Amino acid sequence: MKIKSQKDFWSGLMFIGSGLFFMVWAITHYQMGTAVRMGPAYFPAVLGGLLGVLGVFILAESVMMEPEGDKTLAIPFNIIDILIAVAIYVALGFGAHLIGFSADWAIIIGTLIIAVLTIMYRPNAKGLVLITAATVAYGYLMKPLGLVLATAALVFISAFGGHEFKWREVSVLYIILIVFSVLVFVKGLTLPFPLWPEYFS
Amino acid sequence: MEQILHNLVIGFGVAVTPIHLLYALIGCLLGTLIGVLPGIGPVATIAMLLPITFNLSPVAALIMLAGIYYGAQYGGSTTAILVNIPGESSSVVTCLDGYQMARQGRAGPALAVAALGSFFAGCVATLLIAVAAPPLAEVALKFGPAEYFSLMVFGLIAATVLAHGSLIKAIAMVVWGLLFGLVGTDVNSGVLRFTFGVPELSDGIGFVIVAMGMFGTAEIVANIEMKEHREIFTSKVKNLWPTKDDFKNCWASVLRGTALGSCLGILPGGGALLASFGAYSLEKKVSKHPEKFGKGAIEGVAAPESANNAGAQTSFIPMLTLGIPSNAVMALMIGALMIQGIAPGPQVMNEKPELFWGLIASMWVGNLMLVVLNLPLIGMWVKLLTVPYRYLYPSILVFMAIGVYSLSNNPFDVLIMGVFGVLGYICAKLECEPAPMILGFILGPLMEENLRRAMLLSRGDPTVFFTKPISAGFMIASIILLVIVALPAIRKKREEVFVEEG
Amino acid sequence: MVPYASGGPVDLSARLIAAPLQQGLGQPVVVENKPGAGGNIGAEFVAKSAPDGYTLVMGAIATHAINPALYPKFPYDPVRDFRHIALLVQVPNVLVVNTDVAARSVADLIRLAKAQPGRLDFASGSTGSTGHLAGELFKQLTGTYMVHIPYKGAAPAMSDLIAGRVQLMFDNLASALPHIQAGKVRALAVTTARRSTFLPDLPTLEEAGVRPFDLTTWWGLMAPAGTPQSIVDRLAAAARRALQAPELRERWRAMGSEPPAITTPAEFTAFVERERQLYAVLVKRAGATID
Repeated sequence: MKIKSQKDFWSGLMFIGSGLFFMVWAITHYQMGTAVRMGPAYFPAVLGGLLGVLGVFILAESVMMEPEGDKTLAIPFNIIDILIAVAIYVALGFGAHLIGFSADWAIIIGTLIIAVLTIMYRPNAKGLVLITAATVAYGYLMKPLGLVLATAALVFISAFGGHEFKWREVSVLYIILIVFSVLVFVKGLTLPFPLWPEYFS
Repeated sequence: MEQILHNLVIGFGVAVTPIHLLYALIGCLLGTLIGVLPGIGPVATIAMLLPITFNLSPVAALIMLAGIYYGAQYGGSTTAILVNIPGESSSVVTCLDGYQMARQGRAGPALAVAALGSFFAGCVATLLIAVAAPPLAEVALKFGPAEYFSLMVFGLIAATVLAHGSLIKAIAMVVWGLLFGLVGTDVNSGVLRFTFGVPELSDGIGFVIVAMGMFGTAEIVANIEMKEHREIFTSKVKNLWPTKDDFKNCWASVLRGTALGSCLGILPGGGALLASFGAYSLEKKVSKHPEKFGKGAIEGVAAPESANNAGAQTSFIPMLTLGIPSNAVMALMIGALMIQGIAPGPQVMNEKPELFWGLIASMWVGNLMLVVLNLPLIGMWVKLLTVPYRYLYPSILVFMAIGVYSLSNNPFDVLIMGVFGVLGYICAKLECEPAPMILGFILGPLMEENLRRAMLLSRGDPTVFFTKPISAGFMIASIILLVIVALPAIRKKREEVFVEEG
Repeated sequence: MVPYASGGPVDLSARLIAAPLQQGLGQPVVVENKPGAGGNIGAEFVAKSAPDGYTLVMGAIATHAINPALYPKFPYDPVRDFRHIALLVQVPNVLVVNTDVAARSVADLIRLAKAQPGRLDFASGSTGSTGHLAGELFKQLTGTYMVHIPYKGAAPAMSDLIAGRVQLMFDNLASALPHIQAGKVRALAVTTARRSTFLPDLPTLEEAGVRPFDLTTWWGLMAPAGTPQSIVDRLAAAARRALQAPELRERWRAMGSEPPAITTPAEFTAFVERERQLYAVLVKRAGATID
């Protein structure tokens, strides 16, 4: 049995997995109630089951029907990579719990580690990982380090994820962006963002 | 008739005074600005500006706030077309064809059609409000949980039309979206669902966050990966104005969108955004070339834009006539009025006609201002697209990140955006479309809430969906629509199977 | 810190009082929103903040009286983890019925409910809201059985009440007032022990024989526990003075709030403790939990 459409094959698996997850979690954690007086588990369980069934159909289609167009999956990383990434976060999460630093720092450090690993071993996934890492870093660096540094992280890391990275260009872009942000968002709309790291205020 | 003319005269008299014109302008400008900036929406802005309105007269305050609201609708479609990021929930649909048009160098016509269609819709809607506000409000009251549920079922089936790929995968995405939408507190029982002990999730995952992740981030990453294509994108910019053909193709769409938007906007709770989805689906179904949709069909921009602007204006009706807000923005307006000492409700029309009619007249004026403002800006926006992408995308990211973070000053939101960005990337690679999922995400909790509430009220009698006339109508329509949608797909599959076997 | 999203009544009142407070204290007062989890996220954040008098929160009935009983894992103690500075707003709730319901007084309603147990539906803004718990208290004290229909906010609930899909509701005075005056719904009683100056002809529930009944929706200024007494007193004095400002009183009245009778931090703390105990009992009896 050959997989005729990789994309549909993995889509099907994804749906089956999520559908099962929602259904099982709902049933084991919340009350079902009856069709007449539905409990909180009813709708999610039904929908989860439906999603699973649809996933099965899609999976079946992927091995039986001839697809139109190119259906090979072109992702620059594989399942092992995903598992490694999840493991890093989980490990850091436990570390945070045991040693006592906040989960926020665990997330920042984990993200940075994954970003570095991607640059070294999976350069094709640079785009996805660095862009995501940049935004996550921005969110979690805002409070400890303030707007100026968080924006720097965002701009430089995400620029690194692109194809051309010239320090001077990116720095100019950064300066324009940070000035604009401060003027419009902090001064203009009076959004309460800390500008500088906590030490200095 | 005479009465209406008389009222309109009062209204325009109020609206066209210099000070009110000024406030309308401020409102529209501000609204467009925040509409363009992804993440910061009219709700947050209006809330921040409410204290300022205390020093203004009630009319001026309402005029400015209203300007912000529908200005944001215009602005939201700008980002949807230019960078595939929906500024408002109702701009999601505009992303589908609007962005594709921009990729073909036709951002100018897309923006123009959006602006003109919205203007037309705004005029019609304003007229509707002037003529038929109280009876329309009564219709809105007739919609109870059973009717809403049936309407949403209908809307969901219409959503599957949104897909231009595999139908079954689209349905799966809708269901997935429904499930994600259920995360949070269950209205009917108070139970926290799927929150895994994370308090930030107890109010659900924010729509803005999901939309920006799945549409915005995913698109940026996709563009980075296809570096060659990006150059083609910007160098092929053609004229800025729609062609004669464009106008011919989309005037009917504008009409249909306006009609749909006006009807659905009245309904409190989700009416206006259903309008843009519905208008798109309708266009695709009546079009002679449905395969064009999703690849840059101008009707796919004209109809939803008209629908969402019509919906935005008509959503004022329940607020003005009954004092019931149809969405969060209206609730804020009520708050603004109450702080001024005016109790919104049926008496407002009679006791303070200059407030009511002045607001209506100024909505028309505001629409005019927006079109006048936005059309020349089109040139500027298109120029912006020619900026090399490596400068553009970090800027987009900065605005997105600020927008999301400013929602509740919580980095967790940004994390969720990142997660959905990755998910959006994976879905794009798997050829699973995000638009149906977003629709399911919005409708999911609403559907469940109404389903269970309808059952509670009917004491467990499921036939209520078919015995109440409006609800029955939508259910029957849903079944018919389902058949219409499924039939071609089933027929095609059977052909394929026969070909295989033969 | 306002533990709710911008635009709500708590947020609005915070922004309104910020200016007079700023004048009174001679320092900038910044309003920041930290919404989520029914207000718990913002309240918890301030409870764990440094007690230097710079971080304050608008603690409300939800965050400090109801939620502790409603949520199973509660991250702070509403009485011990805070210094309660000043009660700012107190709004009564009012019992309203749809105009088609054959009840012109509380007594009528009770009779109707007993004649048809389980036929009446009462709406509320959400499970565990003041409206919901007021209804539950009413049911217990009168021995009636009515079905609770929760909504996502008071507005859709009121909408269905006007349309007649539900029969009654306990809503807060400010939002119900325009509909009462327009004749869309009929008001039967207020939930406070004293009559409201807005509807002086409306009896209280206690007068109608349903006692003890003294429920209000309230919120006020609080600081983390451990904030020095001098700072607490200074903030309390500034708040009191801010409340006196004439235009503020006008806005407060527009919200349906009478000037609170409780003026000192000590009284406020005692009040919070009382409310917490009251709702602990109520919530348990109503069987409401958020899992």
